This record gives sequence, C-alpha cells and structure tokens, in this order.
Amino acid sequence: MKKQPIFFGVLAAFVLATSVAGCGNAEPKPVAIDEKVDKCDTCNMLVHNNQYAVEMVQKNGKAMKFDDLGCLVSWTDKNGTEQVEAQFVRDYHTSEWVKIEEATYVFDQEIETPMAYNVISFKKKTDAEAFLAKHGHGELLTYDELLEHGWERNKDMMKKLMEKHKKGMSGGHGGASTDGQKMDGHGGASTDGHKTDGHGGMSNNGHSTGGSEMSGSGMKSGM
Amino acid sequence: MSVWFIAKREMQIGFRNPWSYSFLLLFSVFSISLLLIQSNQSMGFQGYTHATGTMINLTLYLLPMMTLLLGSFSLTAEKEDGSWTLLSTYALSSSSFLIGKFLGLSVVLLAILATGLGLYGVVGVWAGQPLTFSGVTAYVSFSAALLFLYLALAVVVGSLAKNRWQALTYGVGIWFVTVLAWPTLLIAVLNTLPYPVIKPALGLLTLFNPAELVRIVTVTRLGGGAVFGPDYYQWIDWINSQWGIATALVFGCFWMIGFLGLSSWIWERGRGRG
Amino acid sequence: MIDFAKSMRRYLSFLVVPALIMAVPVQAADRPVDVQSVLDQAKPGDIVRLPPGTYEGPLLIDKPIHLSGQDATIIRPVHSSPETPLLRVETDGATISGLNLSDERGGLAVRGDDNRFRDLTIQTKGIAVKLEHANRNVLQGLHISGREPDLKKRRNGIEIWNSDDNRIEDSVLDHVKDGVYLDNSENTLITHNRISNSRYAVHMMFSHRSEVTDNDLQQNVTGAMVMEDVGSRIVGNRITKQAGHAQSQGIFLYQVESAEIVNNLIDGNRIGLHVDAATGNRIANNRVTRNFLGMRMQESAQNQFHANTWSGNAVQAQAIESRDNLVSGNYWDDHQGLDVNGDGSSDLSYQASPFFLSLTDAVSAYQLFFQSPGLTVLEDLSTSDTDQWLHDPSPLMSPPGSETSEPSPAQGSVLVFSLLLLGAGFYPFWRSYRRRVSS
Repeated sequence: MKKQPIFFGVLAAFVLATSVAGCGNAEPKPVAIDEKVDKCDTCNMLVHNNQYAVEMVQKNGKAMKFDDLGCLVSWTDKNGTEQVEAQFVRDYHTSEWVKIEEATYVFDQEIETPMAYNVISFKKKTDAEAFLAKHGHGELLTYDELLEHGWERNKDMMKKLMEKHKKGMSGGHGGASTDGQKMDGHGGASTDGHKTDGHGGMSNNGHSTGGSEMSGSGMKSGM
Repeated sequence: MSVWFIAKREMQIGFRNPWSYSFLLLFSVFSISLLLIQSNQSMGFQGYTHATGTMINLTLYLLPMMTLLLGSFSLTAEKEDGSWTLLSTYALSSSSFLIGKFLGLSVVLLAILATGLGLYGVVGVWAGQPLTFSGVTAYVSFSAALLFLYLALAVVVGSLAKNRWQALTYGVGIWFVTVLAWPTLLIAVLNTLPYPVIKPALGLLTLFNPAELVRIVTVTRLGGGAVFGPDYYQWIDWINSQWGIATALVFGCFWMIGFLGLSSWIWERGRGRG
Repeated sequence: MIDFAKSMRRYLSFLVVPALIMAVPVQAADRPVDVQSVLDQAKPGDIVRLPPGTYEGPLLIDKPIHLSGQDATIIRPVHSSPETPLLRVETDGATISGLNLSDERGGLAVRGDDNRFRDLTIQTKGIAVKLEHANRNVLQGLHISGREPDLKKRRNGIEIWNSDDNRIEDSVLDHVKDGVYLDNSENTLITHNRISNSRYAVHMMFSHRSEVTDNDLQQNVTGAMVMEDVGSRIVGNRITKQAGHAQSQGIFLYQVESAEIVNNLIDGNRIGLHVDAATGNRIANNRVTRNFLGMRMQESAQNQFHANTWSGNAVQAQAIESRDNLVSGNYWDDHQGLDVNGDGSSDLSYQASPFFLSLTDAVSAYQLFFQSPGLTVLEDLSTSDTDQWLHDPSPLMSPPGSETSEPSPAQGSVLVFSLLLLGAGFYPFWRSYRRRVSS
C-alpha cells in the first residue's frame, strides 16, 4: 500500500513536533476561552470569557473550562487532583490568567458569580484588599484558606432564607431586596457587562440600595 | 488525443466486462435493499437522521470496495493480457494512458452508480417513499464524490500490483483501513500522543481518508455538522459556507491529480524496467 | 358626553370602579406630550388611554391604574440621560396594554404584585422585560424581538428574579439571549409561547415547581435549560431543530429532581434529551424523533423512562455512569423485537452501548467518529459489563399512541431525475450488450 509511507511520515512529523513543543514549554499555559462553543465541564453552561471563567490543564494537556471557580472546585472534589497539572483563575479587574496558588480571593454572599459560589480572584493582594475595603464586608482568602472554604452556595442560603421568610410572613416581598441586578453593567469595574449573564443575583441580604433600577449609574456594593 | 483514445477504448472494454455486469447487478440489488431497510417511516435523504446515517454507512461499505476492485483490475488486466506491451510500442505517455483509463473507468462506474440510484429513485417513488429532489441529489453527489476519490486510489493500486490477486489484496487492504478499521486504528495510534495533538492529528489524517472526509462533508451539508461537537465548529462553518463546495471540489482535484501523478510515476518506473 | 359614557361602559368590564377615564390628547410632534404628568395625576383605578402616536418615555407607573395604549409607541428621547427602562411599574394591580416599546437599552421593569400586561410589542437591545420581587403577574400576548444580531451581546427576553407565581402566555420571543430566564422564581407558568432563534428558549435556575407547557421552542441553542430545580413540569411542548450550535440540545436537565417531562415532541435537535446529574424524574410519552442523538445521560439515577417513542435518531441513546434508571416500555425504531406472547412488548430487551460516550468523554476530538462505519465494529468489540448499559427490558413492538407523521408524497422531479439517471446509466450497458448479441 502506497499510503503507508504517507501515514507514517505524518505521524512521525507529529510526534517530532510535539516532543519539540513539549520540551519548549514545560510550564503549562492556559488555553484561550472560545465563547462561541466552550461550555463549563461541570454545569454545561456556555462559558463567557470574563473574570469568573477559570481553567484547569490536565497532565495530558487537556484543558477543562469552568464558568465559576466553584464549578472547578466541584470537579476536583469529585475527580481528585491526580490528573491536574495546573489551575488558573482570573484577575477580577483585568481578566488576566493567574495560577490558582498565586491569587488572592474574596468571598462574600453579595458578590455575584455565574453559578452563585460568590468567590472572586485577584492577582495582587492589594487589589483584593482594596476591593474588600470598598465593598465593606466579606472575607479575604489566601489559596490555603480557599482550600478550607466551604463553598456553600448562596442558593442554599437563599433556600433557607426563603423558607424562613415563607414561614414568617405570607407573600409580599417585605424588606428583602436584592442588590446588583441592574440591567446594565456596573459603572466602575472593568470588563464585566455580563451581570445578568450568569446566575448571580442571589444575594438576599436585605440591604436595599437603589439597585433595583435597571440602570447602573453607579457602582453599588454588590459589585 | 491519445487520452481520448484510451478513454474510449476503456469504455468499450468496461461496458463489455463481466465484472462491470456483476457489479451493476450487485449495486442495483443493494439500492433496492436500501429501500427495504428504510421502509418504515420518514425516510429519504432529508436531514441527518437514522435513515440517512444508515444509507451513508451501507454505501461506504460497498462503493469504495467496488471502485477499488473494478479500477485496479482494469489496470492489472492490461499487464496480464499483454495489451500494455502492445500499447507501449506507440508513442503513448504513461500519464495520458492512465488519465484515459481514469476517465473511461469513471464513465463506467458512474453508469453503474446512475443505474442503481435511478432504480432507487424510481422504485422509491413507486413504493410511496417521501423522497425529495434535494435528498436524492445529495445522495448522488455523496456517491459520486466517493467514486472519484477511490478511483484515484484504485489507479495507484492497479499500477503497483503485478496481477489481479495482488490488486485484490491491496484494494481490500485500503478498504479495510479506510472504512472498517479506521476508528479502531486511529484511536490506538492517537491515544499514544499528547492530548493537545490528538485533534490536529486526527484532522490531518482524516484528510487522507476519502471515506471519512466525504462522510463528514455530507453529514454537515445535510445539516448535521453540530453532531461533531465544539472541536470542529470552524470546519463545519467552513463546509456550510459558500466556499464549502468549492473547497471540496478543489481538494478533489488535488487528490486526483496527486494520485494520478503518483501512479504514472510508478507506471513509468515499471516501463523503464520492462 | 355620550362618547364618554360609552367608553366608560366599555372599560367597566376591565376595571371594577374606574374613577375617571383620561385620554391623553394628541399634539403636534414638535411639542411632545408629557405622558408622565398625566400618569402622575391619575388616581388609582383610573384608565389612561394613549391614542395612536409616538410618545416619549421613560415612564413610571406607581399606582394601580390601567394604561391602555391603542397601538401607541413609546420611545426614549435622544438626549435622555437616565438609563432607566422605558416603562417601570412599581405598584400592585396595574394593567398595561396595547403599547409598543422601542428602545436600545431596556423595555419594561416590574416590581410589584398582581399586575397584568397584555399585547405589548417590545423591540430592544437590552432586557425586554424584567420582573423582580414581583408575584402573581400575568404577561400575555407579548411580542419581543431582539435587535442585537450577535448572540454573545444579546440580553434576555423576559427575566424573572426572586418572584413567584407569575404567568407568561401566548407570547412570541425571537432573537434574544434567553427567551424566558427564571432565577429563583417558583411556580412560574410558561404556556403557549413561541420562542425561537435565541440562546436558551426557557432557562430555569432554582425555579422549583414551574410549568412549561404547550410551547413551541424552535432553533435555539437549547430549548429548555433546566438547572438545579425540583418538581417542575415540561409538558406538551414542541421542541424542534435545536441543531445549529455545537452545544445544541432540545431539553437539558442538570441536577434536576422530581421533574415531569411528558408528552413533548422533541424533533430534529442535535441532542434530543440531555440528562446530567438528575435524579427521580419521570420522562414519559415523549416523541423523540430525528435527533442526531436521541438522549445523552450521565451521572443520573432513579429516573423513569416510559412509553417514549425513539425513532429516526441517528443514534438513539448513550448513557454513562448512570444506575438504577427505570427504562421500560419504550418504542425504539431500530430494535429488532420479538413478541412471543403477543402482549405488544418485545421479549428481547433493548440495549444502548455507552462506548462512544465514554470514548468522547475522555477525548472530545473523537466525536468526529460519530456514526463512522468502522465504529460499530469497535462498539461490538467492547461489550463487556453490559449491566451498566441503558437497558429496556420490555420495548414496545409499535409506537405508543397511533399518531404517525403522514408521509409527504414524493416530488415529481424525483421521478424524472431518477428516470434520467436510470436511463443514462443503463443505456451504455444495454447498447454494448445488443452489439455483442448482434455481432
């Protein structure tokens, strides 16, 4: 068969190319997110290429993409970390890729993330602290502290609240108002504009700001 | 001129060849049995469904094999019965001889194909199958594309093989690798590669397998491209775009020119030795 | 006066005690009518009529009145600075009808209970309708079309946050991001709507016990995207042609519990039914037809699949890591059944191999082998551990229910074309044969 030499030639070329490439970058690199087709490997939602999207590169080079840090953690909880070569999160302001071990995290029930795990990441600790100072409340987490984080979702908290709420009073929406569900992005922060893309808006903490407006004239504490 | 002479001669031989008649019969029976298989409901070649998928696969089992055997046998016959020895005394280049053979064989094979598909259409309409014009033309183009790509390979096989038995072995080998064992072989080989290389390697190797290539393009043109998943959406968009058909035609031309060139090189080498 | 009394009677049917009916006068275009001040003057129960014409928003309704437009269009003036939605309703029990809202930034925002919205046409690049802390509202006969061609930049058609018992019916939504997006909003009824060319036609997040019935969901990325939900029902919908996107599917259930998926037509989608980490759902009497893949299921347990018709799917079903699902009495059109005792169900069981799904789960690039002719060979080679396969012990011999899609007659052109082919193909053989016979 005349095709055999071609086949083997092609294969040889590939093996060569990859071994060269393999030697070249020992450092695993994050793969860009393709918004058109990439979906979260945990929750199956299409992934937006924003500051919430995170990624894991496996030992064999396979890149797994997640729309929320919580989705990545639930993957490693289930599948373990033997396969994991590197994990990357985003800087909240610039959406730059940062190694998971090197980032600083802020958790607060009021921070909206696509799957309502409410943890965001920063490249610089000072940025995280600045955010926290501006935001008013929340927890600053290092990577080690992140590993201890409970990942209880706002949804669960919401459920409890709702149940309490229902028992307490019938109907009506009382004083509990959500924050940060403005239709347009929040003025201040960077690339977002995806506020309502995800499933944030779970924050129910009874602090009523003007956030019920569709407009986003100013940066509310929610974001 | 000599190309036309050889092509005409090939047609005369081809339409008398008992092999052609047996394949004509086989393909006609095959076409009608396709109708029987899909006699239940919502069939034809409308969109990418179970019926369409089955038809594509059954055709992939038969048509490449038929083309490889008929094509390569026609060339080995020239060597075996000594007519090439006679022809080579004329001022006839190997390439025009092979192009002529290729053209003549295409006509014979297309006639077999047209008979089978025509029967399929006529009997289908008579039996009340909901066939559509676009469906039938899609099936015709799918089969014709397969035929041309495999015929180019058949000419290579016919040039390599010393006799009919060798041609049979090589032909079955190509059919086995490209149709039957393709996923098994590729998965075995590709699994040894690092993950990021698998997709480009698979893509490149697919370009060398007419069965897979024609199948993927056909499924995509039938609207089923999304089934190949997010890894290939750029390919799928391309195939579906206005350039899709043009790209396929250009690729087909390169394929035929490439393999006919290869065979005339092989043939020329044999001629030198002979 | 007579006119006044007439219209009074006419509107009595809508409002119990209308105190006053106000008609906004039509004025010359260069002096826009101040609708807001008319609304401000109206008393609860009043009817404010807007004759045909174009009016400037944004408007705020903060008392229970009836704003009745007669094909009136509300726009945002060019120089308007605040980016509030064009029409805000912050009251209980108001009625809004017959308006066209046309705006780049956002249509209607509602905060309040028991309001009714009828016959509104909304065209926008922003969110067309948003309900937040709004219960028991009715949205009926809405026509929403998005103006943003790029799917990634679009906003939702109707989004409902933290609100219960709302109803969306007889509405048409097209070219938006998610047609109806429910977030933490229970008991929502979505019925008799047509949603097409959008990302997710219906997208439910934590919105328990909601109902999606008799809708027509066509050519979206996903028809019904149900996520982390308990006890919702998806009944009698036509979910068709979700096949254009590499991640398309008809119905997607993610971490859904106790849902009922019944009597739907799921036709021509990339994946008909995608079940992921879902437990205890009942999937019955659906017609799953002509999808590339009928069903894909992973990590799901204790679901019931009964009396569904699986036909014409390129591949019927793939399931991995799923156990204890009760699959019985379905009709599988590729099943060669054998009914010995004549009870209508086959004594040979139906099985679907998980091989391909496990293969592509590990390496997604192998999806290119979908239905490749050589794949069946490979599938047959790996038949170990069949107890984990999707398994129907009593498949039906014929589809449940008698409805069969009437076959469309073949086109005349097919016959002509086929005859031409047959003639052209057979003629040279016949001629050659005749020559040989005569010579």
